[in-house]
Amino acid sequence: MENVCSDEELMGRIQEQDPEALSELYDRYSGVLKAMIMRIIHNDAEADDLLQEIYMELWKHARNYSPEKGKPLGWIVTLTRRRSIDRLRKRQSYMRAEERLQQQTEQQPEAWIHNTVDADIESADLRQMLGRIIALLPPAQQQAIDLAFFKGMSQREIAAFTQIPLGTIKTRLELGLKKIADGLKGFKDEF
Amino acid sequence: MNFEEFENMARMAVLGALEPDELRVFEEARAFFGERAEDCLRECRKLNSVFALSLRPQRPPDETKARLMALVEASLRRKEASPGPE
Repeated sequence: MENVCSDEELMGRIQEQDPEALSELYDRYSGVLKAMIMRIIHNDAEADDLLQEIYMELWKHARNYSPEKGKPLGWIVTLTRRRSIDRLRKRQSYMRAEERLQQQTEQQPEAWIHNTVDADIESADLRQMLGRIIALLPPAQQQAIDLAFFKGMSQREIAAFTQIPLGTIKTRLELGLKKIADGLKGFKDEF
Repeated sequence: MNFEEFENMARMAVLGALEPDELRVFEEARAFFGERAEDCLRECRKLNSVFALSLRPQRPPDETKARLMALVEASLRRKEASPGPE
C-alpha cells in the first residue's frame, strides 16, 4: 500500500534537512508552481531556473514556515509568486513583457477559463471545481484578480493599466474575491 | 470598520493589492479584531493556493530537479564538513 505523507509531514522533514522529503514535495508541486511562474514571467528557460531557486530557498529557509500561518502549499505559492513578480520587475525585457501582457490581458478571462478546466490534470475534480468557481465571475472581475495575483499590481496600478476608475477596480476585486471565497466554503480543508 | 469590511480588506491584502494607506488601516483593524482577524487571514491565504491550483500544471524538465538535488546534496556535504553550533 502506498504511504503518502501529508504536506505538513514533508515540511517537517525538510526542516530536519531530509532531501527525500524535498524531492517528494518537488514531485508533488513543481508542475503547478512552474505553471504559475510561466503565467507571470512567460519564459520557459527562466521559469525552470526560478523554480530551482525557489525550491532551494524553500530548502534553506524551511524553518520560516509555521503551520500557524496556514498550509504549506499556501506558503510555497506565496514565495513563488513573490519571487516570480520580483523577477518580472527586474527583467531588462520588462517593457516587451508589458506589451505581451497587454495583448494577453485582452484575452485573459478566456485564457484563464481555458487553462483551468482540463480533464487531464491531477485531482481533476478539485481543479475543475476551482475552474468553475473562477469561470463564474464576470470577465471584468477575473481580469482585475488576474492582474493583482499574477502580475502583482496594486489597485492603483490596475486602474492605470486598464484605464478604469480606481473605485471600480476596488469593487471588482472585492466582489470577485468574495465570490471565490464563498465558493470555496465546501473545501475548507483542501488547501 | 466592521468585520465584513475587514474580511474584504484581508482578501485584498493577501493578494498584495492594498495601497499603503489602506494597509495601515488594515493593520490597525487586524490588531483590533485580534484572533478573529488571524483566523480570517488564514482562510484568506487559501486564495493563493486556489489560484495556483486552478492552472494546468506544466512539467519542468528532469534536469531541473537533478540540478536542484545536486545543490541540496552539496549543501549537506558542506554542512557535514564544517559543523557549526546549532
